[in-house]
Amino acid sequence: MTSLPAFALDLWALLPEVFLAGALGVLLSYGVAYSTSSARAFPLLGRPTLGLALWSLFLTAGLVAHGPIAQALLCAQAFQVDAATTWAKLLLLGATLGAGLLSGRDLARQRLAAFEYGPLVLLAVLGMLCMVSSADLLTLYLSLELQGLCLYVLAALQRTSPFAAEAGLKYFLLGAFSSGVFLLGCSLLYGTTGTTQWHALATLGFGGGQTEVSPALLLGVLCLFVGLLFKLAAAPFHVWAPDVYEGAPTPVTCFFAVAPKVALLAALMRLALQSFYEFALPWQQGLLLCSLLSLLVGALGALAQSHLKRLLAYSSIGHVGYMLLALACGTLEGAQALHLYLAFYLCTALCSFGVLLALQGVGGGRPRMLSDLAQLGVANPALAFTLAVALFSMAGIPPLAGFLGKWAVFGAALGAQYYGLAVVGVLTSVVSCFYYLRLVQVLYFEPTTRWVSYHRPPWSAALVLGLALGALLGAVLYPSPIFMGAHRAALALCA
Amino acid sequence: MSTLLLSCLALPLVGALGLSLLPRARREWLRLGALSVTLVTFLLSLLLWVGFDTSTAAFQATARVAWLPGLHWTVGVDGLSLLFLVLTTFLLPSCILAGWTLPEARLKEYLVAFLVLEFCMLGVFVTLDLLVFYLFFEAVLLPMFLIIGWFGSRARKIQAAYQFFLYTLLGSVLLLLGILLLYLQTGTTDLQVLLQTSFSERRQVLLWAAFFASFAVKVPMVPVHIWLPEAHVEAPTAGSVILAGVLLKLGTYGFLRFSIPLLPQATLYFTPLVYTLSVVAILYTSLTTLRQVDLKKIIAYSSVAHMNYVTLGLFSLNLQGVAGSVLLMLSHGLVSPALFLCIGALYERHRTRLVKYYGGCVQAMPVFAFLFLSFTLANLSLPGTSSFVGEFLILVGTWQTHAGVATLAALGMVLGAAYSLWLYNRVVFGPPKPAYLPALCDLHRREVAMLAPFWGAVLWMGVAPQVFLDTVQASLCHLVQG
Repeated sequence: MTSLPAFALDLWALLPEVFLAGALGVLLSYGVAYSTSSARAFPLLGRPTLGLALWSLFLTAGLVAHGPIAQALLCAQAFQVDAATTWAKLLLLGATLGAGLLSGRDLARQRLAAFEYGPLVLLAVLGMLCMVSSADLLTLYLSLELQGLCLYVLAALQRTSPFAAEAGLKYFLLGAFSSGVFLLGCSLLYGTTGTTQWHALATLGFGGGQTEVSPALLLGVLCLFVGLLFKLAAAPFHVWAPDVYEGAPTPVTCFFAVAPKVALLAALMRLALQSFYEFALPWQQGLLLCSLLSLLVGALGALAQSHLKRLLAYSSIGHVGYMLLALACGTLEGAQALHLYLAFYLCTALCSFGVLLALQGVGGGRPRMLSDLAQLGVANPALAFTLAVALFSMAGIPPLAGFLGKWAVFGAALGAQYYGLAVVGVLTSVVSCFYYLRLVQVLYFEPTTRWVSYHRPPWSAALVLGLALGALLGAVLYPSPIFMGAHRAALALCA
Repeated sequence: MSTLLLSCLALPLVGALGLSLLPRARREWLRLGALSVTLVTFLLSLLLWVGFDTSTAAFQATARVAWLPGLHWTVGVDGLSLLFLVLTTFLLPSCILAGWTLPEARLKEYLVAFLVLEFCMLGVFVTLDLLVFYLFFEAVLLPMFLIIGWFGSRARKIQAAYQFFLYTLLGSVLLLLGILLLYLQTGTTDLQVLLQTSFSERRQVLLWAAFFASFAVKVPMVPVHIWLPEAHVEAPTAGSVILAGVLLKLGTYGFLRFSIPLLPQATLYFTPLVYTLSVVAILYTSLTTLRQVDLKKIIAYSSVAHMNYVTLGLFSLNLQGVAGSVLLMLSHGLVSPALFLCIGALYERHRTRLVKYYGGCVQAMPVFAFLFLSFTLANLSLPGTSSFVGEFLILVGTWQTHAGVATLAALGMVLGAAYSLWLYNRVVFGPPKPAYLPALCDLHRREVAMLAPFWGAVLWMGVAPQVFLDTVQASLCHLVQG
């Protein structure tokens, strides 16, 4: 790792973030100036703002992909850039872009808070980008709060709905609480070690968990992880997730299901594999416990759900369990498996939420319960097929992409000799198969008397769905690019 | 050769893609397209058989496709996989014909699902890589789940589809862990490399158990056979044909291809377990068959009994036993589908599968009665039919390792004769049931076209089994001695 003198190239390396902040400022002033003036075509502003926001995200992704500096420590060791951050940022921007394209029509139809959605998403993404590239506890905390605040507002975006208000409030209270826990961890660490920089923490040497460490230090590390796991909705810190997923408007839920997970997992990986690698034993055990519980909650909790979004919330808890299992291995294979699983998880999440968003009944209704999707296979074969593929992929049935992710995770777990947990993992994957199959059964087999005809999905949603579907189906044919990308990112982390 | 093999493998997939692009309203195009694709695939597989060199146990027509850095997908056939390849491609045209009269709303899905299914099954048989084998082995679940759930006839089909899927998956995930363990230890999943590797006995036992969990569900062995009668009864006729004809063989093929050659010591260690389970299955399911009232369930339970003969022969580990098993697998892959097609013909006329509603079919349906008789006799292993050769060799082979087991298994043959003849007696002979007379028209041309090839093949295998034995002999000798 090369540390450059002074701040000579810092702005160049952080160009994507700087650009996004600039674009955000312009977009926000444009929105504020024009949205309240009826003389300047007020109600028409929602969609162009969103379009511009997505366009600037696209440009940011381009800047990330072709950044002039591939690897550096920046701003007095507060930020860093390397292959892992680039990979995570690309996933994050791609997923947000996909979620935005999927939800354009829905936002316009529900008249959700005219123009605020675009800038709020941009601000949240800015926070997440900073999270991904932070190299200091304080930077991480600040960016965590930045994205958190935007997410709370987004959850309650539908101001007329009591459910959305409930979701926003729950999210806010628990989010603030977990941020507090995280900050406590930071201060405990600072108190015991005298530094908040990750590279400094990494070089301290905790004796591999063998020697006696101070309880304050242990508590500090614990608090850091608990804070992040809370935001990640890993069991046993998952209780808020189903309510928030269900209460928030569907476009927002789609965004929640993809973007924050990428940023949080990237930060978590950084903390675990770089800063506290010497301190592996305690966090490994903690992560294993969380992973086990998440797997069980994800598999068993979803069995009783009849709401689509709650079902998907529980399923995402289960997926977080698999990813934590990969992280807990603490090996190169584990990190690679996590990156891989994350990429495929994003595809399936975009696919499944995308279908929910694309299903806009002609009468204005939209599917909320599982039974609302009955005989979709006849009513809209293309969307039903997409959803079925996404569900089978989540269940990890070969030859779909989800299988490759599960394969990598179980391979890493067996390589790290977590035999018991690997067996639990495959068994919970069978249990979770049960409810994925239930949804497929509703789509294709169950007779119905209520036939709904749906609007055609807009081209933007069709494009995203098509790309995600292609990725899910085609990954098994030509997996090398994504495997290599995940491998490079993992190498950067574990080097 | 390898081009032939690859085109034989790819053709169904290409056909499925092509059909899915055709408009739904063109029923004639869809049906003829699917039929010609399956027929051409069958011809290609026959060509492969003709060009096959029976003198060597090495894999032929091999080809390697780069997949991941460090992982290649190798395809190739030996005598064993070749016969299953031919069996699969032989069955598919009948499946397409069985769905000939489906309405426009569902025909396209049916045809595409069967072509995809054919691709997956062929993939299972030709792949020489453990991981890719697993990919195909599991991928078979998806089209089959949809076939049972979509085209099944009763509300219970959903439960049957679930049972089929979850039972198989529960076994397979353990197989996946086993494959991963193998991969972590050796760094490869290429079968030809693995065959040169030896494992410690403890590791062998662990891996064998993991493999067994998956293959035993597919065979099916006794405690985990519950899914099979359900799936058979609720599946459409062609679904039952594929289930009985090919899917059940995936388990025994797995034993023969992976468990026995890769893990020889563990195979010896577990032979008593397999023998016990097989004998229990033969006697128990034969007795259960006597009590069934559903035509399809009778055939399904008798399939379980026959497949457990196969496992018995496989684990006798001598040439007679193993060769008999292969022959019985092939023979069962012909006889059982043919019986399901017969029952399908009855069901299409009367919309019931309960035995008590039938009787005296011979009066109005002589052609049907003749064909049904032939296949019933083949099912009870009459000399001159294909099953006899297989079962006889299995009993000879088993006798050499354990006379008591062979005796008990032979008892199963008596029971087999009992339920087969009794079934035939009830359905075909006796006074005709008057309420159903008007619908008792004999088989029409399409149904005869479906059944006649089976009839010929069963007889050919019974009279001249040497062709088949020659094809597998080299591979099996290698297996038994190695």
